[in-house]
Amino acid sequence: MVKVGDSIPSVPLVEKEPGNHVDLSKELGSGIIIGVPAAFSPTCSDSHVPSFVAHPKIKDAGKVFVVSVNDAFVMNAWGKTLDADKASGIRFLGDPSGAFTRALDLEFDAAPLLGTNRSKRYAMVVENGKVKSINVEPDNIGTAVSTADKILG
Amino acid sequence: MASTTALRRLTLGGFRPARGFHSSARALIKVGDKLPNLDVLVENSPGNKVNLSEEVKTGKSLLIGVPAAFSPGCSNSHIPGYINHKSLKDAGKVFVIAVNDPFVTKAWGVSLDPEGKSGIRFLGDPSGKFTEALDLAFDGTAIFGGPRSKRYALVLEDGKVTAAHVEPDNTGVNVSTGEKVLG
Repeated sequence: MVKVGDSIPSVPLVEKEPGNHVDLSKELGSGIIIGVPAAFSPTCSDSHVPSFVAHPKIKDAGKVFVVSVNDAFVMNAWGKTLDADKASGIRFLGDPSGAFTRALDLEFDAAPLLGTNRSKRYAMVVENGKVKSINVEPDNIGTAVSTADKILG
Repeated sequence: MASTTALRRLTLGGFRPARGFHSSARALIKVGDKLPNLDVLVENSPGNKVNLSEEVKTGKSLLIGVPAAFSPGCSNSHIPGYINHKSLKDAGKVFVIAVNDPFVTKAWGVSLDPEGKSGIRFLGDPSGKFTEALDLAFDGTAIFGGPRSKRYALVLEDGKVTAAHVEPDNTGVNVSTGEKVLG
């Protein structure tokens, strides 16, 4: 599992369209990566991500990305439902094959419910391209340790 | 559009099964066939299973398969063509099926038909098993990470297929439109 001090894997993610690749190892810098199990699922949509979208300090957090094992179309549509005018600056990226999530060793077997392996829920603070802190939900899907109040105060 | 071009390039490259082992034989669904008796489709939430072979047993039904919920072709042309069709109500029970999880298909259905007026039900085939059993899957690994459904429309009566309209390039919006299928 990814740990403090690790570099961000150079595994491309997708944004808005399947051909539009984003390499977080190049984007960060400093910021936050928020991992979620399922775009459009109740917890991800009603609690976890909104806690970041609405947080007063989100603009000071650097570059913030939500990553999920979903395709680019789904992530784009989901991002619009959570932050229509992009006021928070949060970018929604897809990891369709799960390769990025696997490189962090943060996937879990969700195939029985959702058809594929999915990302655990986590929040990772990145500084100068290296993991500064990593909060992973112990049960993969809860919201005990990875919400905005725990990460941004 | 870049994404459509990428999809076409992918599908014209030929079909490679994404999964090596199949426990049941796959045969391309054709007129006269019944639907596979599987309990893998889900509606709105992962625990809410739908057995389509039971649902379509009597009367008229229509199954519409799409490659990708929220993708431009599926969202802007294909499904709206059915939602807005004047003869939709004569088609009987209408289901849209995608290899997506049910959170995604539910949200997509709501975005296309917010009040559910069309009566169309949006189902997920998260593992792709139903779609593969009809032999209507293609290898979407490069873009989507796994198999996806070809675009198709299957007309059924009393549980048997009476017409099958499958896009020859998997993803185009030509032979499976509301216009072609419902008139």
